[in-house]
Amino acid sequence: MPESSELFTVFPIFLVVDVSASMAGGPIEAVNRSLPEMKAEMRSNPTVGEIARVALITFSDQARTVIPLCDLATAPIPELPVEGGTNFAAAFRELRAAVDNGMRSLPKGTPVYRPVAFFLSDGEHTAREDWGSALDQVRDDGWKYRPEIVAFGFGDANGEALRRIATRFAFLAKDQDPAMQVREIMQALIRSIRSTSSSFRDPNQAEGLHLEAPSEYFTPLPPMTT
Amino acid sequence: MGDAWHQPTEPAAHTRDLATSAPVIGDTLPIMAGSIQRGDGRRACDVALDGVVAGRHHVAAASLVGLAHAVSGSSRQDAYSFCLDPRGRLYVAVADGLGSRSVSQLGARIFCDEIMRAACERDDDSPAEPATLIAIAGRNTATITRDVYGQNPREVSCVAVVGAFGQERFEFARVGDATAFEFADAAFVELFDNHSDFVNLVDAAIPEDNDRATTVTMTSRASVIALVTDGLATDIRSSEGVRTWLISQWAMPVTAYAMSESLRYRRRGSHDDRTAVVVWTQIGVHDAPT
Repeated sequence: MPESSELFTVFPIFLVVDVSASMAGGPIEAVNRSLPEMKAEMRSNPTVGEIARVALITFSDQARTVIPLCDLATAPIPELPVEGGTNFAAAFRELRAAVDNGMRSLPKGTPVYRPVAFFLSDGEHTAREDWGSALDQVRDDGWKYRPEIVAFGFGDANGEALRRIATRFAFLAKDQDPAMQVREIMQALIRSIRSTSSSFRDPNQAEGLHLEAPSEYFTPLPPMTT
Repeated sequence: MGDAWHQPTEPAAHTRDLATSAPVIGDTLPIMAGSIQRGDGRRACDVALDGVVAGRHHVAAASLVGLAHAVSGSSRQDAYSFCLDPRGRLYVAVADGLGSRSVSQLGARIFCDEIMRAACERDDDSPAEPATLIAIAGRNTATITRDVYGQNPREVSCVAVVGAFGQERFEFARVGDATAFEFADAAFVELFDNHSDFVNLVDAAIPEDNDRATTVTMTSRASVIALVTDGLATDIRSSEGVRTWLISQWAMPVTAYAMSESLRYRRRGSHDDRTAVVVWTQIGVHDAPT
């Protein structure tokens, strides 16, 4: 962990994006259009771009960290291709590793916001392995870097699964067109990053994160209590 | 300071600003113009300043709106106040409204005013303890918020630090992450423990946790004490550039405008309101204030 006499505040954000075959066409195109928009926001708005650090994780049968935690303003944005099935367990294992690696890459003593993971999926887990234990590893209360997980579902996403994944906030997109749903999710995500980056503290940790998911476009799912 | 420290950029072309020698630290993006929101009848002014002799002490204070609030059009949420009680003891309050509450700037302002009222309107001749003042002022803040302004007290929550400068000792109490530093031997020493894991979360606030104040005391002595909100505290803790700058600025008592200048630095990622009340105690042993 590097040492520095200047430790700049960091808001760590992890995007966990489903790139399974069902994302082909409009949905993946919407994701690929939205990532450069997010980068543009980082380059133009100091209250976001000077704080937010973003990592991009994709998952299908397997999961990959496509962009490690970094200043998105200076990172090349790859075109995401669609792949195979849907394996939530692989996504959560990769998320845990990306958070660990990303947080440990920051200089010691860096002031940080609580990490946030935005999980986007259009379907259900289709792999043979159970995904519960991998999710438990990400939601482990004893983990120092445990992120707040916000789950967005669209297309054929399972509401109960999204409720189980989210630590507090889960949403289903309303629009009939999956491409529009992805577009609205990515816009909500950018707005949420913007409002959380420019807000400061709350004793109730539920409000440490400011979600901007208008009811016009999203159905909020009640949090799972067990 | 290396590459992280460089000279400030020119002010935006469409406005005129005062020249400043305050540094720019780190790679910063261009600043967008400040704005206000429609329908915000509770807006606090962007800047508050003081620089006065207060009994045996010199007090300089500044509260500057943060970039995040200026850009979004929301109000500065910090507040401060200080007074001498009828016996000449100095009391200081610094409060920071929580960003997620709708009118927290109102709570921060009411709380500071109520600290001063509680300190000055006591029947008891003994020094008022800051933790006691916080409990009283916190309750009054909730009552005034509800009865006078018709607001839910939850919507005005703030964190705060209160200092009492007596003959024998100085005493400080806080709820939340507002804090205090002593400036001695060209270094800052934080008077409270800083345990926070994440900068956007705190574990206590006023008026919910009025009775959960943490207290520290020190023997009365010639010293420089700064009571600050976390926007400034985070920079003092994490930036050698800011520490070096403030040490140069607060080496002797300052006027109100010089106090403003001390907080005008630009630092990457530092977008919260900045508020400090600096007390040069027992100024007979310092350089006289200018």
